[in-house]
Amino acid sequence: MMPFVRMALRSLARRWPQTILSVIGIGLGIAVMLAIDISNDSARRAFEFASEGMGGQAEAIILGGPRGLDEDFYRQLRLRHGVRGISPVVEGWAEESATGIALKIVGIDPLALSQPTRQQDARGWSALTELVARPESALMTADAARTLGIEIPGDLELRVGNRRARIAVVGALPVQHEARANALRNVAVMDVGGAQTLLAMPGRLSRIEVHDANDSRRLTALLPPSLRLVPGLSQAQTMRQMTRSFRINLTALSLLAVVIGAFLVYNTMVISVLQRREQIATLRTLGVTRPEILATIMIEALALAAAGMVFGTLFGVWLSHALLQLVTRTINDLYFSLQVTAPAISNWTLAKSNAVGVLAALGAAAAPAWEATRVSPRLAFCRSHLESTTRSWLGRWAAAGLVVWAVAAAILWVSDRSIVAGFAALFCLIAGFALTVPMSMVSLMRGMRRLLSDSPYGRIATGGILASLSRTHVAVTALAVALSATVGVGIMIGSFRTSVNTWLGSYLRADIYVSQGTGRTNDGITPAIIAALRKEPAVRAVTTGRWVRFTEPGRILRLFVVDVDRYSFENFQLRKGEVTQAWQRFNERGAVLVSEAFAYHRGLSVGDSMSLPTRSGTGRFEVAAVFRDYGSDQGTVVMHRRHYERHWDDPVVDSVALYLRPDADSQALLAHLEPGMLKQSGLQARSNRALRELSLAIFDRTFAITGVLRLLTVIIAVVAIVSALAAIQLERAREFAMLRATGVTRRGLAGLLMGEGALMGLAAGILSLPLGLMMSMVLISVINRRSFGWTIDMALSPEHFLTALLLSVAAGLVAAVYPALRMTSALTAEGLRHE
Amino acid sequence: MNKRWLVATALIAACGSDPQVPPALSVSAMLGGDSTAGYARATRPRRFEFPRDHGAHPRYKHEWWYFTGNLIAGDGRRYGYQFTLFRHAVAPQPPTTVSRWSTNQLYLAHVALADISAGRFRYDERFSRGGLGLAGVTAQPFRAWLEDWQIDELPSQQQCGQCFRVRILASARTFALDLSLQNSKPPGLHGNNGLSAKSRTAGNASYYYSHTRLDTRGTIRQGGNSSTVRGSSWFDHEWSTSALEQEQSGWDWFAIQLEDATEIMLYRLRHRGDSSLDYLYGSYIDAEGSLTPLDEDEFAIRVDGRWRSPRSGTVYPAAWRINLPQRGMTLTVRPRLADQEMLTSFRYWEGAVEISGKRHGTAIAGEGYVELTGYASGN
Repeated sequence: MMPFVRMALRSLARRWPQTILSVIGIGLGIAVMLAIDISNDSARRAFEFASEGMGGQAEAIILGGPRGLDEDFYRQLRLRHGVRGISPVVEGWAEESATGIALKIVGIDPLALSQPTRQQDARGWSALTELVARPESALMTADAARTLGIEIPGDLELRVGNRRARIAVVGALPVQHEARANALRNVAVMDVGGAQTLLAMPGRLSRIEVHDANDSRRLTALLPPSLRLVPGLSQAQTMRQMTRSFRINLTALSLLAVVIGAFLVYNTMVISVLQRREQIATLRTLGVTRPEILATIMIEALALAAAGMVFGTLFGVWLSHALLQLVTRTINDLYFSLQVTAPAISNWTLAKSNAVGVLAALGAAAAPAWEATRVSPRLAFCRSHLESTTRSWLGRWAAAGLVVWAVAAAILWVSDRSIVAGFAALFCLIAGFALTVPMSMVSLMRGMRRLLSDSPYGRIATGGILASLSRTHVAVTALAVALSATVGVGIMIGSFRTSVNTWLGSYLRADIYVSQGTGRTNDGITPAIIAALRKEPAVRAVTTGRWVRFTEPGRILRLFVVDVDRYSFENFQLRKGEVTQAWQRFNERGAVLVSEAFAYHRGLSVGDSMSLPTRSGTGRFEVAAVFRDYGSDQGTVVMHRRHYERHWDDPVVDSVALYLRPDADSQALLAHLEPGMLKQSGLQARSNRALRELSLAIFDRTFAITGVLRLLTVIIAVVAIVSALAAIQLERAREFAMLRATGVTRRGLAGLLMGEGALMGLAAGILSLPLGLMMSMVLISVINRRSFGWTIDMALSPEHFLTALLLSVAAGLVAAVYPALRMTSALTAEGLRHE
Repeated sequence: MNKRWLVATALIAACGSDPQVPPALSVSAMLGGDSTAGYARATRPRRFEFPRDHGAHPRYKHEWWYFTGNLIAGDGRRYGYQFTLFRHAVAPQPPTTVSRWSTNQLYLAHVALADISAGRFRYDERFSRGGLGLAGVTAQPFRAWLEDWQIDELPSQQQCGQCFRVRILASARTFALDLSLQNSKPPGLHGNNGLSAKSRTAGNASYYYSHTRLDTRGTIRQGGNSSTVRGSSWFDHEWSTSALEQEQSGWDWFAIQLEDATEIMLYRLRHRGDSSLDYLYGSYIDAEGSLTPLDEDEFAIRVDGRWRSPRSGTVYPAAWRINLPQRGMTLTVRPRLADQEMLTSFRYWEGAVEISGKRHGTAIAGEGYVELTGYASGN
C-alpha cells in the first residue's frame, strides 16, 4: 500500500496551488458548519443553565391570571390538603439605581422544599434563617455582585417603578459552572416575603411550582377555575422550542456551505484524475490493478480531507466566537434575554462536522476515481474520447436533474409543515439544478460563440471552454450554485425587510410610545400618569396597551390588550377577514385578532375559536381576523381592553400610545415629558421614528449572521472557481504555446485567458439567476412560512441579480490571473516540445 | 438540578458529606447563648396561667411542645410515638413588611413511630414558618400546627384551666397518627415553680411544665394497616432564650411513668470535659399530681450499656440504673427498641423505654421515654 500513499502525496505536492485551494475550500466548509454548530450549542446550553439555575425543572407549575395568584391558595394546599411538594415563587424586576442594570428579583421559600437531611450545620441554618428573618436580605452570585460593584455582604439601592428600596446582599449564591453563573448574573434571590414587599405584591404569588408528580395529579382536582396547572416542561425546553426554527435555519445554511465545499473537492478530484488519465493508463498497462488505482485516488482525497479538517477545525473554532455573538444577540433581540460568554465546544460537535466534511470529500472523489479506473487504458490516452463521453452524458445528467426536481416538488407536496422537509426540498432543488448546469452551459456557450463570432479571440475562448467541458462544467456549476444561494438569500432578506418596513408603517401610527423601563412594576403605568398625558395640550388621543403572557406547555402565548377605537383599529393590516365586520366582532363581541404566525402555528382561521385561561376558567374566543405581524414568530393575540377586563379583572396598563394634534411637534413634547414626569415614574418614551428605526436595526442585526454565512459561501465558491480555472488553463500549455507560435502576442494570450475566465464566470452568473429566484421563492413561501408562520411579499430588486453577475465575472477574472501570468511568461519552445 | 439544588447549595453552605447520614446541626449551636440580645429571658419564676401558657411565647428564642407516649394495640402490639413542635425565633422582633410571609418565627416538627413488635422505627421532619399561618401555636383554643400536622384542643364540657384534652393528627411519609389525649393530673411545674435551671450559674434556665400522664386513645396507620391503640402519653412544654452553656454538650432526659400512678422526670446536662460537673435535676410527681423537685444529691444515674448506631456510627448509652435512695427506689431503664435514633437536621435519640425495679423491696414496673442529645460526632 505504501507506494500508493507516496504516489498520492507526490501527486498532491506537484499540484500544490490546487491542493492548497482544495484544502482551504473543504476547510471553510467544515469551519462554517462547526462554527454554527458550536454557537447553536453554546446558546442552547446557556439557556438550559439559565432555566435550571432558577429551578425550572418543576414537574408542573400552577399559574393564575396576569397578576399571579392568591397566596391563600398556597396555604390551603399545604394546610388543608397536605400537599407538600410545592413551592411559591414571586418574581419581578428592579433596577439598580447607580448602574441602571436590570435585576430579576426571585422570591422563594427556602423552607418549602428544603430536605431536612440537607440542613447541614449551624452556618447553613443561620443563612437559611436570615433570608426569612430579614425580608430586605438577598443572595446573589459573586459575579453578579461584582457586576454591580458591591461587596458581599453589601447593600444595593434599587428602583422599582417610581419607588426606591434598599436590599442587603447577605450571602453569595455558589455556582459550580460558569454558564450557570451567567444565568444568575442578573438575579437576586430573596425570601417570598421580602420579594412581595420589594415588588409591592402583597398577597400575590407569581406561580407555584410543583415538584412531585403525585402531587401534580392530585392538584388537578383541587384547582379553582381561575388557576391552571401546566406541565413543568422546563423553561429550557420552552426556550428550545421557541428558537427551534431559528436554529434549524442556521444549521441548514451551514450545510449549504458544506455542499459548496464538497463541490470544490469534487472539482479538484475530477481535474486531478483527468490530468492523470495518461499516467493512470500507463500504470494500468504496467499491471497495476483497478482497486489499486482507486485506492491511490481515494488516499489523495483523504489526505485533502485530513488537511481540510485541521484547517477547518482551527478556523471554525475561531469563527465560532464571532458567530456566537451574532446568534446570542439575535436570540436576545427576538426571543429572550440570554448571556453567553464562551463557546461550548464538545467532542461530539467536532466529530460531527469533521465527519460530514470528510464524507463529503470522499463522496465527491468517489465518482472521478471510479471513472478513472473504469476506462480502458487505450482510450485513456485519447483526450477526445473523454470529452465526447462527457458530452454524451449531458442529456442524461439534465434528465436526472429533472427527476431530482420532481422529487423536490413531491417532498413539498407531501410534507405539510415540516421545516426539515422544506430544507430537503431546497437541497433537492439545488442538486437538480447542478445536474442541469452542464447542458445549459453548453447552450449558453454556443449562443455566446454566435454573438462573438466576429472576433477570433471570442471564437477561440468559447471554443476552448466547450472543448474542455469535462473540466469547465464542474467549476461553472460550483460557482453558479454558490451565487444562486447569494441571490436567493438576498432576495429573501430584501423582501422580508420591505414587508417589515411596510408593516411597521401601518402598525406604528401613533406619534409617541410610552412604556415601562427596566424597573417594571406590577402596577404598570398608573391612571394618574395616563390622565396627565391626556391633559397635555399637544395630545389628541391616547390608547393604552398591556402585554400578557400565558405559559403553555413548551410555548408562550402573548396577548396584547388594547383600547383602540375604530380609527386606530386600521393599524392592524388584516390578512384574512373584512375590516368592518372584524371591528364589530372585536369591539362588541370580544372576538380576538390573531397574528399570521399564531394562526399558522395553531391552524386557526377567521370564525374559528381559541381558548384562553380566564379568571373563571377556560374561555373561548372567536377569531375576528388574522393580521400581519412580524413582531414575534410565536404569534400574538389581540383583545379589546373592555372585554379583557371583564375576563381577567386586571386594569394594569404597561404601554401608552400618544396621537398628537397635526400641528404638534413630537420631539418638543418628548423633550418636555422625558426629564419630568416620565423619568420620575421610571417610564421611557420613544418617538414613532425612533421605534421604527430600532425595529429595523433589530431586523438587520437578526440577519447579520445570514450575511456572514452568505459571504463565506461566496468565498468558498470563488476559491472553487479559481482552483478549477487555474488547473484547466495550466493544462492547456501546449495549446497556448501553439497560439504564441502562430503570432498571438503575449498580451493577446493574456487577454484570451482573462476573456475565457470572464466568460465562464458570466455563464455561472447567468445560470445562477433562475436558481436564485427559485431558491428565494422556496425560502419565502416554504421555509419562512413553515419556520415562523408569516407570509412575506416577494420584492425583487435588480441589485441582487447585478451583484451576482458582477461577482461571477470578477471571480472568473481573478481565477484567470495566475494562469495568464504563468502562460505568457512561459517559453514557447518549451510548451511546443511536447507537440 | 432543580430548586432543591438551589436551596440546598445556596442556603446551606457546608456540603460534601455522605448524603445518607449528614452531619447533624449542633444542638448547642441551636440552643446556644449567641445573639440573645433583645429576647426575653427566663431569669425569675413567673405565674403560670392555663390555658394561656399552653400557647407560644414568641419573645423567647426557643420553645417546644413535646408529646411522647407508649401505646398498645388490641392485639398486644406495642408502639412508642413522638410528636414535637419546635419554635425558633430568628430575630427578637417580627419584621415590619406588607407581606404575610415575613416573620421572625420558624417552626420545625418531628414525628416518630416505634413499632416495637415489628422492630421498626420510622420518623419524619418538617420545616415551616410562622408567616402566612403555615405553622403556629395558639392558646385559646389550644392549637399547634405545622401545615397539616396538627394538634387541636378537643371540645370540652366544662371550662377548666387545668383540663388538657387534645387530638394529634399527623400524616408522615410512612405512617400516620390520630391520637386523643386527656389529662388526669394538673400540669406539673418543674424546678422553682416552673423556672427550670439548666446549670449551676444563674441565668441559664427555661420555663418548663409537664402533663406527666395523659390517657391516650386513637389509631396508628402504617401503609394500609391501621391499629386501634391506647396507652399513656407525656407532654412537655418548655421555653427559653439560652438554655445551654458553652461547656455543656447535651443532655439525657428521662420521663418515667410507674404503674403506681407516680411519675419521675430526670435530666442530666452533660459537661464537655468533666462528668463531675454534669448538672442533674428532676421532679417526682405523686399519684395525686403533686410535684416535688429532686435535687442532684437525691438521685444517681448510672449507664449500664451502650449502643452504636449502624446508621450514623454514634454511640449512645443504652441502659441505665437509676437510684433514688431517699425514696427507696432502684430502677432499671431499657430501650424497647435499640434503634430509635432521629437522623434529622439535628441528631438525637428519642425512644420508648421499659422500666423495672424495686421500691422499698417491692417490685415495680413502668414505662417511659428517654431523650439523648449531643452524642453525635461533631457536636
